[in-house]
Amino acid sequence: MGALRLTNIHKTYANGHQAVRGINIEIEKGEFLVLVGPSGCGKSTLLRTIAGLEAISEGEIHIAGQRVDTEAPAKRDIAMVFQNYALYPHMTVYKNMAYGLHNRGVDKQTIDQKVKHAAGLLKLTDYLHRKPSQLSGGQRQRVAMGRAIVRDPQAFLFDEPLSNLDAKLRVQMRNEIKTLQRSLGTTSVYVTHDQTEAMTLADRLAVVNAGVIEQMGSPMEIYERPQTVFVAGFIGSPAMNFLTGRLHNGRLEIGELSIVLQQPPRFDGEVIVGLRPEHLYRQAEHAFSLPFQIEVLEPLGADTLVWGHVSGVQETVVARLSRAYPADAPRTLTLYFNEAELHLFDAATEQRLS
Amino acid sequence: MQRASVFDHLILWAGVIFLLFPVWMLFASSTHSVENIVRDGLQFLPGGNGFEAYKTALTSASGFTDTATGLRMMMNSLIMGLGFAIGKIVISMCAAYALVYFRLPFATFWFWLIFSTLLLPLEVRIVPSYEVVSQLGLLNSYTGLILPLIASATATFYFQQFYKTVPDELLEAAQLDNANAWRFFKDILVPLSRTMMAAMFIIMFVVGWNQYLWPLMMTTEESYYTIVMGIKNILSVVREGRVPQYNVAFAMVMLAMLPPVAVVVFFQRWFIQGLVESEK
Amino acid sequence: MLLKRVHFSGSPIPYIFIVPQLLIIAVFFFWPACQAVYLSFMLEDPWGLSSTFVWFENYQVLFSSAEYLSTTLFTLVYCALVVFFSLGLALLLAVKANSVIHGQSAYRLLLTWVYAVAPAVAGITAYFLFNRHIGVLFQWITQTGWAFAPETNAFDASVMLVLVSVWKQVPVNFVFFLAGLQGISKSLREAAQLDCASGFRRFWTITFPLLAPTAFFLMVINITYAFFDTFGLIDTLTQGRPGGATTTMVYKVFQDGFLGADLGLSSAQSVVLMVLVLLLTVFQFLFVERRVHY
Repeated sequence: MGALRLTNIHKTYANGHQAVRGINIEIEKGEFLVLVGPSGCGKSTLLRTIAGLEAISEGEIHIAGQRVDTEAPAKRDIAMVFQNYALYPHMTVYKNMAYGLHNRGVDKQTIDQKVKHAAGLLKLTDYLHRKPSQLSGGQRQRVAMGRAIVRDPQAFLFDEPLSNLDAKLRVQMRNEIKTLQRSLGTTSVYVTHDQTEAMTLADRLAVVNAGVIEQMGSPMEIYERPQTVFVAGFIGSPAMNFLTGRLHNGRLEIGELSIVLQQPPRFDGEVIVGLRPEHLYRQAEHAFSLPFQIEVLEPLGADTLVWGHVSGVQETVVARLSRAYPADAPRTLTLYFNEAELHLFDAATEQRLS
Repeated sequence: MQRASVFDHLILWAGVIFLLFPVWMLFASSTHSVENIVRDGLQFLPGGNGFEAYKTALTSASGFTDTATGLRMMMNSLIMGLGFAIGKIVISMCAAYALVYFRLPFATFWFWLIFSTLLLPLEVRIVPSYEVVSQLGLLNSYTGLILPLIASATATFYFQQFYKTVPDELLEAAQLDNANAWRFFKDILVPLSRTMMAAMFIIMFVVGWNQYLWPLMMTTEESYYTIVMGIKNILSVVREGRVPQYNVAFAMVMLAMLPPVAVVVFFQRWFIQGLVESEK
Repeated sequence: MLLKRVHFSGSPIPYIFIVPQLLIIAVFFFWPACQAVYLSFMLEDPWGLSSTFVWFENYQVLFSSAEYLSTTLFTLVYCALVVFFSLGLALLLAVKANSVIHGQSAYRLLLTWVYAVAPAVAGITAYFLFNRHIGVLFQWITQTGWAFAPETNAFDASVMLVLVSVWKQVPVNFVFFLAGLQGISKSLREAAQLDCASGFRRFWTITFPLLAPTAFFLMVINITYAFFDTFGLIDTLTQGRPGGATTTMVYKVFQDGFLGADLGLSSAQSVVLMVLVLLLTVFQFLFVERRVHY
């Protein structure tokens, strides 16, 4: 039995907008599930229905075996970390953390002990008597975490908690959240639109699009075998290159290129060919070659993004080449790739061909 | 640049003097003797009588009214100012809370009902208001003085606007923290509104203290006279052709404006905020 | 009207919280307001013993009265003058106060305190200053050769009234104009400085248009002030004298209804004022809220 079970969740707003359209998830105890998707895909709505901040239109929510979908938020034994932290601005850090316990009638001594323990975990001990306005962004984020931790709930719900932080702090807090969640072992559901955040945090990843889950699995599973064009394009940075092509009797045609696949899917017709930028190489030991016309170079230091065109193909292609690519190097080059790193999708259904 | 700046200061000083001049004249004259004033008119510089006239104005009925002393009238004004400000803030905060944070049946109707009161100032419905208050037997009472003035939604509108700017997440966090409607109001919304309440209080106190027409109609017993309406009696003395105790009269005028002016001067920041917010 | 994403439900609190306000406005607002409308259709006998329903007779009497016409005219002219001068003066002071570097907060204090002076107190202060026997302003004016006589001369009385009304209203306008000026971003002012060398031109082409929303909004506030809040001022300064020449529409409501005890006529005037306020509100919504927003 899972710690958190969502069965056939639907959420339709009064204006007819279907934010969530039939979602089923079962989350194991202690698991860290990340819901990732573009803004407006329904991931936040889904999280808010778990919290009870929005009522579901259809379906069932079970937390630790208890059906809770008609319960008030406070009765669901979950804690939430909000995007803008939602700290009570007039209360000290201590009171912010203690408020939920106080309202549940926990005695003063226990509150004190729990708050101090959480503050210790979060390195907030010196700031307990400050107000939120006297804290840095990262510290506020920790207080919001602390407010969740002291409750010792069945599950943590995170609603884009890092998007108000600057890039450097985001990486640091990301690691802290992960470490903390591991050590506490609390089941967590985390919503983000940032695919890097999703990949690094998740035990399991659910890619949400237009109110349904496109694919669910471990980050590497999703990276290596995206089931749809949407997932393939959403996970990975820079995004996967998509080229239109044709598959006929095991022969793949992309522009002027025509290659014979070793393990072709049983499919004839229009396909979308996906190739990750990092799976385009300069070394000739890889099986297939593409003539490539360079247009823009983006040196990133460790590697270089090379933007350009493959002859006979309309779409812009980007390759991530290791180390610096000299700016005065020839403007044409040959790129190589492997069949194993090729993703083929049915152009009509946008589903993976395997 | 330098010359422009001097010119700017000159204009500003002219403005300052324009505003200050009338009040200064009365203040300076209030420290002169009646004979001085009758002989030489209003005085530019303070005279030798010190604050004697103020003592008379505060403690004796001083010929302008029969029984009400300045102190008594100031007390009444204070009660009116405080009662009006506090009453209005409490009632408005509550009503605005109900309107913003709950799904009331007929919410739109209540909303328009309350905010239609913004359309008609008391002055427009003054005569029938008098009739209503007199039918309720509230003439010559603090309740009758204060309640009809509260019957307008200015502050409700203002608090409604303010509540709308409070992030939704605070309410959501509070719900997860097991705060019910009353606790959210008491523990979170009211403390968050503190500056707004202070700002509103300054404005409302000044408005309440400065009421003139309503107490004039409402009160026939001198023990309920407020100082702002009480000074009208000075005029009746003058109009009857008697020579008033000018210095005491001026002292009364000073006393009538001192508390609200002091409040505005001392709480300048809140006053400005309250003014800008409340008129929006 | 969904104001918040999440609401409390099943709590009696909203009802408990909204009832005091509803009760007070029902008793002290709607009842009198309805009474005003009702009474405007009634004619009371001079002893107040009985009254009869007379349809629009009160309105007919009102609109055919030369006195009411002159009161209306005076109110409009008075209102226009007060609005114009108090806005103009306040704008000048606000622009200057915004441009000086030193003493800005001191000026703000010295230019706003008059807000706290009650209109009635302002009126009585002015009464003494313009007093024939002791008033220093009276002396100054007569020294210029102007035979100043506000007790008998309608023009003199009006000048006095407008001056005092402006004096009382400048601070409010000043506060809003200054807030409006300070709301104009520094980068915008710097951009304007690069584009336009003349400070005067800069004011009229950049600053003034940006202040337009404030100015329009203040216009509505000032009209309301001139109509309603000047009651105390008039009652202490001129009491409508000489011969009703300085009587505003609101002052007349009080005179006819309370002093003259003609409830029907007074109520009809109240209704006329209600309609005017309604029109002003509609005007505000149509023009101020929509048109002048950037």
